[in-house]
Amino acid sequence: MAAVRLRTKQERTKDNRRFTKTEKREDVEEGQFVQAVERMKAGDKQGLKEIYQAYIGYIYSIVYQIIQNKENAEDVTSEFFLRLWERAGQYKTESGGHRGYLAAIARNMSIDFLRKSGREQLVDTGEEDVEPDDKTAGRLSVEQEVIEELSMQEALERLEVKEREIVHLKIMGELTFREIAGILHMPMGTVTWKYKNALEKLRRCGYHE
Amino acid sequence: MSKNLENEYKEYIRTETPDMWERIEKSLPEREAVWEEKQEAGDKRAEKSKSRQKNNEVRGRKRTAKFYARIGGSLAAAILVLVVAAPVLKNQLFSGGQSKSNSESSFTMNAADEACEEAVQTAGSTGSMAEVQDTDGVEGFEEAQEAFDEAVKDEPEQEAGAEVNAEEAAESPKEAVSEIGLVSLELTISRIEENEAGEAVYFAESETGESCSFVLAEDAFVEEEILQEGGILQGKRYAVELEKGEEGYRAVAVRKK
Repeated sequence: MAAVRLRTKQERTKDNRRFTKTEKREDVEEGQFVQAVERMKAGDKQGLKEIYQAYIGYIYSIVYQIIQNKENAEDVTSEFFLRLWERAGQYKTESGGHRGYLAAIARNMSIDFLRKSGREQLVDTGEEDVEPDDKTAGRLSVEQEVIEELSMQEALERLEVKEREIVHLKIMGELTFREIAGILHMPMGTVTWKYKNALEKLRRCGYHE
Repeated sequence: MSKNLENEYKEYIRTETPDMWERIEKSLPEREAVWEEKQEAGDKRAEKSKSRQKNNEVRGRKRTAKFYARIGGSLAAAILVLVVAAPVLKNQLFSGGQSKSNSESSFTMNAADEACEEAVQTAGSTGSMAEVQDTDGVEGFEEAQEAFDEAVKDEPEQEAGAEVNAEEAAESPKEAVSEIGLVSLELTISRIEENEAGEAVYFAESETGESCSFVLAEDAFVEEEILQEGGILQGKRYAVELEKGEEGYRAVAVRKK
């Protein structure tokens, strides 16, 4: 392989910045979100209710995927909205899209919950501990399984936990791969690859993009 | 019959999510009370920190004035030494080859000695001044360093890293080039696998049939079009910039071919 000196790290960083700027989509709902936050700051519960109605499914699923227990997931989700109410003043529009912001808070709160309840290892040691057979089942489903129609729940059970998280953030959060990589602390290449794998598995279960 | 993933998924999430609004709404008044208490406490804390900040500002101004006064003093002393010593030393130098009377030369020597002694004394005193000043200078530097660190803290990590690299490059350009040295190749992705760290490992082949594998660097630049297509795909050809690390190649940029 002929080694050619190309761009320095600084140049790459510049490139990435330029890229991030162009990648940012114009989110029409961002304005609505900011308005709701402003109302919350003024003590108007309606602002919180609007956010709740728009994002309860999105947030609850993020929390549930990590905690894996309905009751606890409900507790953490409620706590999430209460915290959002209390800290409405801390939201900054320039910090990126609000969906990514919400997802990051929900994830952190869920991981904190597990940490406090002594179940940290369950998350940190990987998905294998949560669902030992999922990974193998997932791989088999891509390689061997014939196309079959399954319910959404059954189809999602064929995905790895991380794949499910990525699919959720992509579909419900409409986040970019870069944003997802930031939230999940994973390299972007891995995120795109896992998403592609997940889509392939779902396609085999009868779901198309 | 195939179903639309997005619609089905959204519907599934909608049906699976419990309604928690009543529960949240009930907790809001309690939270408001707690929040108000917290805010009051926060206001008090803010007032305290304000007065502390004012005191610090005044103290800082006094310290700066003191610092400049000391610098001025030591500079004046140094200039005085130069003014006194320079003509004497000059005389001594130029009179070196000329014949002079003993008394004259002894006078010159004495004068030079005196000047030297004076210079040494003054230097000694400025030295001690410098010591004092130094300790103050260290304090000042530390303060400045703290302020700078705080200012820099807000900058993105990447940039800080880039600056460090630039410094390293300035120190040893040859090494830096070899460290930064990248390989640019057109590669066809033959397969993608997951490594132990859960990263995607891309196995690829070059035009000449050479094969290699790489992972994506965390700050890798991936072209927008590639992302829109669903990431780096098997069987596709890309222009890849590879960087060799301890654990093999890492792609720092991937573009469409």
